[in-house]
Amino acid sequence: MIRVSTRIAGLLMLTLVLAGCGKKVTRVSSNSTIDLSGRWNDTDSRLVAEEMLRDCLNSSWYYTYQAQKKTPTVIVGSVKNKSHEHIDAETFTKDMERALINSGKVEFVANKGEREQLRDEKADQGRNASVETRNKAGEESGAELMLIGSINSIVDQEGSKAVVFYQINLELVQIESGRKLWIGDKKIKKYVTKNSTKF
Amino acid sequence: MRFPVSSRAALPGLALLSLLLAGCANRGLTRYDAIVKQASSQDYLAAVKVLKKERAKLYGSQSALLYNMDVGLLYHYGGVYDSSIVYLRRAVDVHEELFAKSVTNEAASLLVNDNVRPYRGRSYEIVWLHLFLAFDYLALDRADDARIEMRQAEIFLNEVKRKAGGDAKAFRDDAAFRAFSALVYEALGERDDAAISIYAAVKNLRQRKQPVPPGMAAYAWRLLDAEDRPNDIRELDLQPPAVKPARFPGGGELVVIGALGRSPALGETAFWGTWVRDGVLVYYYRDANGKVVSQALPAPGLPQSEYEKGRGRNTRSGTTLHLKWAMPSLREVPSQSRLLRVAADSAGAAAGEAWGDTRELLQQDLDEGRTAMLTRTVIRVAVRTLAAEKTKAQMRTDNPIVNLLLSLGTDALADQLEQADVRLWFLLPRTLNVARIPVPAGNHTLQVAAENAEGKVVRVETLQAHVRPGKTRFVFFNSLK
Repeated sequence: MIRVSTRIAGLLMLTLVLAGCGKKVTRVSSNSTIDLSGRWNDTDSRLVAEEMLRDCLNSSWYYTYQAQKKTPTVIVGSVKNKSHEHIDAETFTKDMERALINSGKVEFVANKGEREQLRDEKADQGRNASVETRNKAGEESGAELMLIGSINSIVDQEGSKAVVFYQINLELVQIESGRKLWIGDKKIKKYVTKNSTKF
Repeated sequence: MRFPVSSRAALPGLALLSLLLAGCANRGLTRYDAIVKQASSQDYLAAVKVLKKERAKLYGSQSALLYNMDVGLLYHYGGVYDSSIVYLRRAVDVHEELFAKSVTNEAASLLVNDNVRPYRGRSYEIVWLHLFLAFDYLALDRADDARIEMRQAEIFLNEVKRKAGGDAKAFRDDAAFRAFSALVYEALGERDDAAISIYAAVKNLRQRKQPVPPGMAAYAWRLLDAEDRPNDIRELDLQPPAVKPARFPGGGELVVIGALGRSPALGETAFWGTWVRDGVLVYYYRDANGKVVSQALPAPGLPQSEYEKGRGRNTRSGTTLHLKWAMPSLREVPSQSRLLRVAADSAGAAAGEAWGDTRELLQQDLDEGRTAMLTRTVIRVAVRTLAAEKTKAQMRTDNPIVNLLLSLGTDALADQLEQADVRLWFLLPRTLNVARIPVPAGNHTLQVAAENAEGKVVRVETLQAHVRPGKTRFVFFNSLK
C-alpha cells in the first residue's frame, strides 16, 4: 500500500515538474498592460507620451497660436535618460511623435537623423531623377518649437522589496527665442516585490 | 562471503557514484588552467573561443553568471565593446534572477559542497561588472549609458551597505568605483553628482585606513572646492594641490584607464585526518609551498549527557572517524605590469595611478565570509561523516578485509564530494589605473605602456583618440602580463 502511494506521489510530482517545462506564447493587444520585471516598459512609454502631450496641446501656448491662426511646427529633440535603466529612448520619442501627429493640432517635421536621410535622397535625385519629379533642396519646413526632456528615477530598495519612482520632464521650447512655452511632468511609482526563495 | 541485502543493493550504486565523482575535478581550478594562458598572452578572442567551446565542461550549469562575466570581460580586453556589452548585460540579468535562492540547492550544498549552488558573484565583482559595462559604453562614446551602469551599481551598493548593518569589517563601498563614477558624472557635466561620488571614494579609503592616491586626492579637492563643500574637504582632510592642471583653451581631456596585471586566484586548501573520539584529532594539509603539514590536537570530549547514555555505539570512546574538509584560499598571481605610462603627441606625458586593487577587495571578501563558510563547512563535514559511518555500519560483514575495503571506499567517496568553492572572476585585472592628460581638441596619437616594478616596459600600444572641445575622451588599455 505504501509503495503504491509513493509511486502515485512520484508520478504527480513528475507531472507537475513536466507541466512547468513547456513554453507557451499568447498574443495580447499592444495596448494591454503587462508588468513582469517592474522595469520601464512599453506601457509606461505609451501612457507617458499620450498623457503628457495631451496636457501640452491643451495648454495656453497653443491657444495663443490658435488666436493668431497659426499652426505650430514642432520637432522632437532629445529625451535624456538619467534614470537607472537602459530605456529605449527611440520608442519613447516615436510614441511622442505619433501622439503629436495624431492630435492634428500641430505640424510636425522629421528629426535630425531622418532629415539627413531625406537630404541624401534629394542629393541623389538631383543627380539621377528627371527635372519634373525632382524634389528641391532648401525647401524644408523649419520647426518653430522643440520638445526636449529627461527621464529620472529614484529607487528605494530593501531586500526583496523596492519602490521605483520615475519622473519624466518635458519642455516645449521656442527655437528662435529659447523661450519655454510649456513644462510638464509625469510621475510613475511602482512597488516591486521579488521572491527570495524558490523550490 | 554474504552481504546483508541492503549492502548488496548499496554496493553497485556506491561504486557507480565513486566512478562518476572521480571524474568531477573542481571546475574552478580547471577553468583557471584552461584560459589563463591565452589571457596572459593578450590573445583574448582565442580565449573567448575556448570558453564558448568548453562552456559545459568549464562552467557547468551553476556558473552562468561567471561565464557571461568572463566572456564579456575578454571581449572588453579585446576591444570588441559591443559584444562585451551583450555578455556583461546578460551577467547582470543572471545576477538579478539569482536573487531567489533555491531551497533544494542550498540543502544539497550542505551534503555535497558549495559548488552545487549557483555562483552569485562576490559583492565587489558585481560592482566591477557594472564598472566594466560603463567602460564599454565610454569606449563607444555613450556616456549616458555609462551613467546608467553607475546608478545600477549605486543601487546595488546601497543594498550591500544595508545588509552589512553594523559590521565594521564588511564590504560596504568601493572607492575605485566611486572615483570612476565621479569621472563619468563630470564628463556628463553633472558636477554635483561627481562631487558626491568622489567624496564617497575618499571617505571609503579613509574609513578603511587606506592611503588615498595623490591624483585622486587632488581631484577630490578640486571637485569639492568647485561645488563649495568646505566641510567635506575638512572632513576628508584634503589639501589643495600644489600644481593646478594645465588646460588648453577650447581643449578637452584624455582619460586613459589601464587594467594592469591579474587578480589573485582562489586555490583549494584541503585538510584531511582522523578523529579519535576522546583521543586526538590528527589532520594534514598542504601549506602555501605545497608541503604537507601535520597537526595533532586533543579531540573534543563527549558531553556528560552522552556518557550517561550508556555503552551505545554512538558514545564509544576510541572510535576513529575519517574527516576531510576543503577551504578556498587566496592564491597570489605574480603580475609584471605595475605602472601605467601615457605619452600624448602634443601634450606631454603622464603617469597613471592605481585607483582599485582586486587583491584588497578579494582579501576583504574572504575575511568577511570566513565565519559563514566555516559554519557551512562544519555542518557539511559533520553530516557527511555521520552518513559515511552509517553506511559503513550497514555494509559491515563478517570478513574483516572486506570491511576494511568498504570502509576505505566509503571514505574515498566522501572525500571526492568535498571540494572548496573556488569560483572567482579571476580575469579581472590586479589594478585599475588612471592617467589624465589635458589636450587640445582634435585627433591625438597616444603611446600607452605598462611598466614593471623596475621601470621596464612590459607592453606598449599606440592608440588614436579624438577629443571634442570641452569634452572628455576615455581610452582603454590593458596588460595582464
